[in-house]
Amino acid sequence: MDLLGDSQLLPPQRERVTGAIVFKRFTQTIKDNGGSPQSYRNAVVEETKELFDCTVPELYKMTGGKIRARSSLPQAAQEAYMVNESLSANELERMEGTIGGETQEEVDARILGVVREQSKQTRKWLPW
Amino acid sequence: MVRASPYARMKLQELKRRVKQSWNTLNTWKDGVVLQPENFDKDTKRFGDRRYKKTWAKALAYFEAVNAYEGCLDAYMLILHDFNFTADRWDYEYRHEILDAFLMYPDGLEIIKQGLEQLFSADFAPNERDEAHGFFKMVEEREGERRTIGSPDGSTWRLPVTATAA
Repeated sequence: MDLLGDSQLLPPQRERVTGAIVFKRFTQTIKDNGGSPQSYRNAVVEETKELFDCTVPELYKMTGGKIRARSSLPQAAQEAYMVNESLSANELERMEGTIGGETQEEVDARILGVVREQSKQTRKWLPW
Repeated sequence: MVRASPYARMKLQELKRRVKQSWNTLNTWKDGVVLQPENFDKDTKRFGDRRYKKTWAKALAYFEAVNAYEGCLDAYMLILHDFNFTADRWDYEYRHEILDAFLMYPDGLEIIKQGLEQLFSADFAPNERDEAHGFFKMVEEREGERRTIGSPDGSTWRLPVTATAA
């Protein structure tokens, strides 16, 4: 609303969606569910195991990624992360406020469980 | 001492529990199943006499550093999360030891540099960078103690000029 009383909706801010933007939304949903500072990397480790059957350093080594930036991975790998993180974020958004857990460890374990289950599903649709 | 802060020191029992948890994370393959749990004793004994707290502190720093390294898909995540130590974190007390252990990796320093370059690129807004204040504060503490972020060959490295404005 402006000072003259003429209110109008701001146009939505839109931009090209990239893997980095999808990952930011994924980390935001982990945060919103109460994940600890360690839960982000644990989620990445978990999805990497499920999607690629290897660890993050192995993925970089096998694909020749020079720096620790997902943009240096092959397109197929970036797409797999992007799809999985998008779907995991949807699931985590849906669970917001209901994830529960008495301790931080329990909360983290439940978040990790959501990511693990989604990753197993996503894996079925990947060509490798 | 520069590192004095209001955190409560971790009791030995809690420290042992954290070491176990950190080790479990490293030794889990899929579905949360810990592989060869019997190796825990062997893997912690190599840090020294397990009757002493310092032995467990060393083990914690090492396992946490390995977890950070193994989970680092994007280097900036180290700056924004893993090493963004704030006083409310359980691992705040051991922040310097964890970073020291990470810098033992031959490419540890390089990955941190990459992380800063990523964070200071156009992909991040100033308010997102500011969230890494725990990391920048730790680096300041290290400069005060002459424990800068250095590589094993003795050369040191400082934050880019832009970082001081964060």
